[in-house]
Amino acid sequence: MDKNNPVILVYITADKERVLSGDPLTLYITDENEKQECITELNRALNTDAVLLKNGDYILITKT
Amino acid sequence: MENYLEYHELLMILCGIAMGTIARFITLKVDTRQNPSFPSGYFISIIMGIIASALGAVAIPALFAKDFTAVTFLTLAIQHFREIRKTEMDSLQELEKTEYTIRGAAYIDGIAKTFESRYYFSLLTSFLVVLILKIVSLDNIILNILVSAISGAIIIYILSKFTKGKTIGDICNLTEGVITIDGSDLLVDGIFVSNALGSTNDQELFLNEGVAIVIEPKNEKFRITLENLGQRHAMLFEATRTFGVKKYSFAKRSFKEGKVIITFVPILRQPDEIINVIKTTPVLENSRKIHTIMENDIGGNQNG
Repeated sequence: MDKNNPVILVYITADKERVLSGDPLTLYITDENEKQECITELNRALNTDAVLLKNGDYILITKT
Repeated sequence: MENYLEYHELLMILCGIAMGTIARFITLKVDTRQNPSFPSGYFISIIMGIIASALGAVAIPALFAKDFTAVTFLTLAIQHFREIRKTEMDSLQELEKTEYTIRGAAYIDGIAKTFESRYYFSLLTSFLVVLILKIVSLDNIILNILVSAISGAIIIYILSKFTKGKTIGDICNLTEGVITIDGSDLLVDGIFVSNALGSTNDQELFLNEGVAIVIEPKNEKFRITLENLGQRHAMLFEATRTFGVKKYSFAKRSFKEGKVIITFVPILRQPDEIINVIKTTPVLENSRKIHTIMENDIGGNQNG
């Protein structure tokens, strides 16, 4: 995990159309509270940072 | 007569060693930067200072005894001081893994060079004190001690002035910035720092406990120094090592505003003290640009 080259570990979306197979793991979560809880737990477990995209989706990336 | 000369030389050497050791003692600064950081490091530096000043002190009597080969041990001393620099560099590089943020190669290089130069400082002080004592050639013990004290103080003062570098406080104005969060973007005084704050827990943590310092150069030319990556690492390191980090640490520059933002969530939240610590961060030699040299037409200009 190179600090200068962060890796996307998880993609969290509320749009079924964006759930694609392959890497990274993509989670389909519609409830905002559930999404936040999930982000917090995954951040702790994977030691990642969460980035909110303009389209409302989140990516969890290795710490920069 | 022979005994008298030996005694006089011994007195000169002792005075030289004393002044050289005092010089090393004066240059051992235990401040917020904490280099050396522990009593054992402090002790090693003092012992090495005594050895450096002893080498400087015996050079003049060796020369006067026409023992020219003996003077070549000074080259051995220089080799040894270089080894000290290398050891210090290796030690600090190893410690990088254990710190809150990295010192960075530029800062480590600067610290190691300073360590080396302080032993030369000690050696030179004792060398010059013995030289002065030899020139004045006084018989009286008290007068010898007095001359060595005065000449040593002057030499230490001149060398200190010569080797003293600037600090960030000399070239920049520092103020506390206002932290805001927009989406997952962290902003300080409206300047973008990071977009890695997507979690609401982290947003609350940063808003409640985070601290942001805005560093603005006093002159446009100082931007070259301030925005240097090594210099930013050094400032962030000093701030985080002194006050700790709960989570996140950023040293971001703004091209548009010409400012550098240092922001993190400290363990001890004392903004004014953090500003003082960043102010005392040394301007690194390898990030510093001498403007008078930059204005020269080295390498040609538009007229050829």
